[in-house]
Amino acid sequence: MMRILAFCCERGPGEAIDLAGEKRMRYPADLTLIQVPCAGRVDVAHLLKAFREGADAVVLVGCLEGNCHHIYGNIEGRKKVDRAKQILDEVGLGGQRLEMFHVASNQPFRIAELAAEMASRVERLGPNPLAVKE
Amino acid sequence: MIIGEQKRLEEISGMLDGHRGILIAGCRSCVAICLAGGEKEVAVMAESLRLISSLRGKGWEIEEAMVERQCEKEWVAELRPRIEGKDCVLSLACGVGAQTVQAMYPRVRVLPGLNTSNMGAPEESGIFVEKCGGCGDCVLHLTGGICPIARCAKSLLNGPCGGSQGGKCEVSPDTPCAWEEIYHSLESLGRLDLLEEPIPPKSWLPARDGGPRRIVRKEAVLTEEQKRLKGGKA
Amino acid sequence: MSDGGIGVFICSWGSGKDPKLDMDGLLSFASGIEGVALVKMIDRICSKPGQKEMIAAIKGSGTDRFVVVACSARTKRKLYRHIATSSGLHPLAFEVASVREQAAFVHEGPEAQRKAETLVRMAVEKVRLWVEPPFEEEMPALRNVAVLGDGLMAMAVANEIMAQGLTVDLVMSGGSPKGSPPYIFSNQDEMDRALRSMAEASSDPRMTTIKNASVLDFQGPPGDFGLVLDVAGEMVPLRCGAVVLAPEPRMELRTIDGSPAPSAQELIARGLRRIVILPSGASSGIGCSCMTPRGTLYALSLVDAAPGIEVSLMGREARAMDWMEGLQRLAQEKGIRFFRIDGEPKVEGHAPTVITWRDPLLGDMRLQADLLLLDTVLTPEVQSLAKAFDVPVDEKGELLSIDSRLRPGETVRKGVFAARFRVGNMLYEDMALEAGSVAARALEMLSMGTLEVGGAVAEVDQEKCSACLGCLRVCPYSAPMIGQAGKAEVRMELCQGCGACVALCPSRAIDIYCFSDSQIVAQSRAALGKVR
Repeated sequence: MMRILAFCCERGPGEAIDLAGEKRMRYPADLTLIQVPCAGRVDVAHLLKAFREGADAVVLVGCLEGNCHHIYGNIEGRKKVDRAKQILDEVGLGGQRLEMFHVASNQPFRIAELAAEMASRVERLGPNPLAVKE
Repeated sequence: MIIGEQKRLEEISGMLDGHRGILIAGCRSCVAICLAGGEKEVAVMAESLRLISSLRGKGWEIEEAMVERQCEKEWVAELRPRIEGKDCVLSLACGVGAQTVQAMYPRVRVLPGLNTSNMGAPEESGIFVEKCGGCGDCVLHLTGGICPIARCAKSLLNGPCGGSQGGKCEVSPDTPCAWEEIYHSLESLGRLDLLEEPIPPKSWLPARDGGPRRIVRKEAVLTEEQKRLKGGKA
Repeated sequence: MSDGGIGVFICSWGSGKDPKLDMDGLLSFASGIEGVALVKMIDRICSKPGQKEMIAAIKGSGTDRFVVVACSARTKRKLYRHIATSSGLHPLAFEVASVREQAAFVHEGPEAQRKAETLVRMAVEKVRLWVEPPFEEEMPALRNVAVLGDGLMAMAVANEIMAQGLTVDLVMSGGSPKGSPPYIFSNQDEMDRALRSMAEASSDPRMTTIKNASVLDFQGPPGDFGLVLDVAGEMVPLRCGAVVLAPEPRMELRTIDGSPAPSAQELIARGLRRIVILPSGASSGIGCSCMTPRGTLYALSLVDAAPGIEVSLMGREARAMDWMEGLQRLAQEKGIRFFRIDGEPKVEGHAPTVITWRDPLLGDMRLQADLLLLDTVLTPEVQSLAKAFDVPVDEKGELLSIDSRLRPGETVRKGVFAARFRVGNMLYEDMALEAGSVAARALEMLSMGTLEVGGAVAEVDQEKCSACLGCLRVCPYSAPMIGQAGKAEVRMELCQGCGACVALCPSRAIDIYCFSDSQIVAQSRAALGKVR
């Protein structure tokens, strides 16, 4: 089973997730969500640690550009993702495993989309070599 | 403050080859502020190196520690229990801190995680610019508060070289021409007359060229008698 | 960390409602987690009996925090807080595992069950590390509002606020507003009513008018702001619960050199016959580039007073809404000409002035004028207001709303509200609506008499802080400040809990309640199956 960890802002993306549930939309069970008050809350260490703990892919989901409730938390989040991607490339794990997505509260289909996108990347790159096979 | 920048992971990884017990030591002072070696950066470095270790089978055991100011013996002494059993320290402090740690722990290899760069200031969040040339013979009063040693690429002392374009140094379009800045500063101060006063050829003895500098503040130095009377470590 | 153990409550939402999840399985899974002192299945937590059962269970067990395994937090958050406080716990001492929306509804079979178990595990690990946050429910909210503005908008806001029984301090930068109000009244009646309400407001004992004032200082938490005003050299303090900024642009017809437009008599006396009115936006880009009703009204007044005068109006288009259409027709019948401009007109010379422009249909045009008038917008002093209250200004130079669609009227500073204005033609009734809307926002904040602050806010560990100023620079709400000790402190009443400062702090000195670093790491590990 693939492991995709998603740090989701509790506003736009959080509401989209609930809506996806209410609409009975299907997305892979591999995607597990951690809610944070804003995409800007997550830092580089959290993202890297997730890979060390065996995540095959990690996403940071924030609100649409220009729509962050906290003005620019999504921009802060993107900067952290960019740095972490660089480090992931340098260590050889692959920056492609990490991505930032922007989802609005009325875009539940985006959850399935981003899950599918990351799943296909993991298939291409292979599972996280550090993941302990259970 | 002192500005430094982290070395690339590849270079650090190469330095750590062959080591096993690694302590990453950061500093809460200058390097924390210029986002190179504070607790956050130590954590990110540790995570990155742990990933490398697992992926490439290096077998590194990495721990993290913080020092209030890595240039002070008393604080570096507090690292002793953490250094026990380690065979190297990756210092994320400036060159001064790294040297202090090495001097205090001569049997544990200290590796520099940073390239210490210059004495500068934050221009805005995340941007750090060199300001002071550390020449030991300050002429800021003659240049409207702008250091010609550090901020002029040629360290000219008596006016621009003429190579600037649009107010920017020919070295880089991001670098303002220091002498243009000096002119405007003296203009705002109403002291363009200071430009008439030539700065003579500089003696570089008080600068780096005279060898490592040693500054003594006599009233703070404990005399031999005081040291004897005090006992223990001075 | 927990002394009394963690309680886990699983909502069965009625029997047989969702066959997907094995609720008993979840129950035994939860019981097996270390630190979980109580596990209970409750039928419909959202129902009154369900709530009662849950409260009784918490009280009886001595647990000091709990996990709700049910549907999404969003819809039920207030309810769970109520359950927490009714059980004698802190209102935020719980976590929610949304097994309905995030497992049962979106996955199949054993995957759904496994996901539900993971979600329960994550919630338990998170709440395990929950630390009680500082929380003040009784911060006083003064029932006085400071309204800053010189014109009709400020007055309208003041009226709305007083109508709800609060008092107003009207702070005007000048003695009286210059030029004319930039609104279009539908008819004479509306205008009379507007002026009358202004006069009434000025004499209302619930309002204090302060003229010729500028803001020197602005301090304090929302609900209890302290301003210091410079009133013609004298320092005057002011306390208020909220601030409404209502800077109002004014309109004035002016000559090119900035003096007010002459009267018809003056024009005749000076022998000026051909008058051209250009909107100020045509050349400067500031303000509107259309022919305004104001220009039309002035032109009509000239033509009525001095029949020999020729007036031409120019602009990109004519904004003639509602009753203005009739006005424009009347103007045309009286010989006032309307020219459409495409692009920038060229203005050359002085007495006579020659204007050349491109008409979209007729091509290149040329006109000689004895006097050129500009329909000028007198922009209000927004910059000084923005600086005094630390509110950003958008690219058009207007006070920036925190979210123009969902939270209009609110600025990034809690408790500071700003009325929006559309330069150009604004119907008076639109202005009245805007004034009412902004006033309502301020009233909403102050209506309860107290403000709730705290909860999921950030806090600085003074020992670890390097005073790098990073948090001050990144915080969108200016919540951090450098305190007495020379270290950063986060003002709880301003913090909105976004965590940007936590992510940035180079010394890991700041953390945030309810979403701490250790909690996030624990959730990650639980999500990735790394916790046994």
